[in-house]
Amino acid sequence: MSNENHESVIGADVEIVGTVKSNGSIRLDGKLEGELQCGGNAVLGKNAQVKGNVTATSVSIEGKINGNILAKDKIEMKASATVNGDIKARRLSVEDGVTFVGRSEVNPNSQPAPAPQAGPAVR
Amino acid sequence: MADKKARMMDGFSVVRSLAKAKQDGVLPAPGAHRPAEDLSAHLPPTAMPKDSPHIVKTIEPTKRTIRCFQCGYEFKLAGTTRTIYCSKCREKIDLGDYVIAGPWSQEIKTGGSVIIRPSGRLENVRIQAGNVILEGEMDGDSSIECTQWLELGGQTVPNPRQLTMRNLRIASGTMMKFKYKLQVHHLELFGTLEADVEAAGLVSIRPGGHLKGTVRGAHLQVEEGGGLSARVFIWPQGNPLNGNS
Repeated sequence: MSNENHESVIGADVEIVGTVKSNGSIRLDGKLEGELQCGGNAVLGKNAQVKGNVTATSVSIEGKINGNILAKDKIEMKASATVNGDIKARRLSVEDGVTFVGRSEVNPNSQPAPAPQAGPAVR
Repeated sequence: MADKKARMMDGFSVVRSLAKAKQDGVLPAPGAHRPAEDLSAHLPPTAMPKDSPHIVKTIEPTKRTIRCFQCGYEFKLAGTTRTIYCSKCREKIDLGDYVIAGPWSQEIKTGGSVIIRPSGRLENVRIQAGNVILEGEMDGDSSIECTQWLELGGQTVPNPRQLTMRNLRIASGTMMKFKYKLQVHHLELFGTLEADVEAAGLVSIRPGGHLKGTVRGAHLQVEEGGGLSARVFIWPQGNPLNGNS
């Protein structure tokens, strides 16, 4: 289903400990304990659980994440999202119903976010 | 048909008869009681557009919440009236709307709206109203108390200590700074706000809006184009101050 979009999919029954790197887009429905570095769009599905930092061009969150999110372009938090960590992006969209504890640095008029820096998750 | 004896039929019988006639392939003669040319003027039901004027929609008149200035009792009112009596303490409440476009020093106490135009200026006056739109100026001795929405617009930069409101809206192009904790129910931003916000309801940042500082509450909505440079504590399920992160 994702071949046309070059999207890698990590299923709901997959649990990964370590760093996941992808040049293209990625969809995560499982559990990840570590960093997610994505050159394209990262979609964290409803069942996704991430303990670590996420870096991508744009991030869409429906699941839970404990870590910082750095997006070059856009962060999208769906109503079911739970985010514990700091976020930084050019554009932000938050639906009513999200749980979000952290710092936010979003300014649509600012320059694109700087290159991602490797670092430990804050929480 | 005219010589037949009229018979009373309930609605269910009519529907059942029509269904049976349709099942048997014998539909009642269309337009039996009106000329055929009248029927041609109407579209058959299947060809009617979805939002056909034939589908009548009932519109409930908008209700607004009135808060008694005397006893604080809140009640809802539908329709328009100039005055009303509080259902609890029988205090007379003015519901008139006022537009201030010049110097104003007369006290206003209304459950309606007060609009202070950019040319308006409040001078040593207390304004109590349901909704207030402040685009003009106010001196240091004036105060505004809103039971519902306060909208700050234009180039006005009032002292936040002179404002009391339940819900706050910052209009587009307006920049407001609150040095102390801002406690509101709903907050809607089309402009820029720098404050430590504690909201019981929804904090909504619309396109062009920007929030700086801290935001604590249960509901946050940021539409694309809105900015948020703040420490954020949004916990829909409970008090963010009591939660474990």
